[in-house]
Amino acid sequence: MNIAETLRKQQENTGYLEGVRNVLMGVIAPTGGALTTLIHEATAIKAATDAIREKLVEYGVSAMDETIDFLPQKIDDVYDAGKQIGKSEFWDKYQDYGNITQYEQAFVGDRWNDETFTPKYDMNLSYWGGNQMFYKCGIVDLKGALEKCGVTLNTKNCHAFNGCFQDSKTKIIPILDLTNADYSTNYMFATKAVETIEKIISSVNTNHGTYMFQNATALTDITFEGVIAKNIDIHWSPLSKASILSIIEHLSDTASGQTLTLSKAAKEAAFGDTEWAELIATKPNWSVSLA
Amino acid sequence: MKTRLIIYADDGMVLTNGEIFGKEIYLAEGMSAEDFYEITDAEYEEILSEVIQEEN
Repeated sequence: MNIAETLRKQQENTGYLEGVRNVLMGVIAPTGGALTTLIHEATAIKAATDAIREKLVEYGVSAMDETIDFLPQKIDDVYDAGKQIGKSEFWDKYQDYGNITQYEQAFVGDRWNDETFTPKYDMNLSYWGGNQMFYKCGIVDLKGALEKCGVTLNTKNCHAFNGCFQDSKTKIIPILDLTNADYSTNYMFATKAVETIEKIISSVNTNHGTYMFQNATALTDITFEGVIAKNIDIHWSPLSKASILSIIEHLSDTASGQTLTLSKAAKEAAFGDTEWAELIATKPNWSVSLA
Repeated sequence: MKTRLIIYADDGMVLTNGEIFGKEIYLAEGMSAEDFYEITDAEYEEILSEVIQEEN
């Protein structure tokens, strides 16, 4: 075994500096030429590890204070760092560095799910931006996904939401500002998956379109803010008492010829006759249909 | 004192005036029960299906 091989064996067991020390202490007695080679190799190894440390730090991996034993442990860190950079560059392009506002059909299909949906920029929808935006998507907890990414879904300037969540797997939908949703909201929540809509901000302009909640048979919790001034049919949904109260509370006091349609079963589960009569008496300008 | 007119559909039927559908309808002020008629549950489901096809 030559000096270099001996040194490498020492390094495996005790680290390269320790190996060099053992050689210099006479554990192995090199001649002049062999000593030069030994020192050269030790220097080269140190230079290489220093270079690796600097490269790792450049790619966002902590490495400067690590010993030579760190290399195998850092391989996973390097791989993960590379993945994150790739993901970031994807969203830069897909969202045009946050400038895109046309999100129509942007997340169609179940390949968009809680794992793959990781937007980098806030989503500010334009006029048509809501049309089928999450049509048939696989995202289950949209609210959670947005919070995890630290981005917001801003719908205030959007007027069209046709089929926005239609046939999606989305159970939890965050706050949606439908203040200007005056063009179309048909089939917006037409999915059997949705359970909770955190809040709908409604205005006199909001068009709660035909079949907005078609087949939303799992929807139990919904909260409104603002005013509901146009027909709203949510009879597919087994709404909680709080949800029914929220809807009725926000019905316009001045609208005429409008109808609220609720699930008969949901109403009967939530209210006794007297309480119900008192409740709808607060909105005599609304027809209330139980289907 | 104010009253609210309530109309009820018979079993297996749905009330409608062509726009509003329901088995139990609390009419708004100014609306008349005479504007409503009954259709069967099956006819109601068919109307819903037709509207969906038109929308699609």
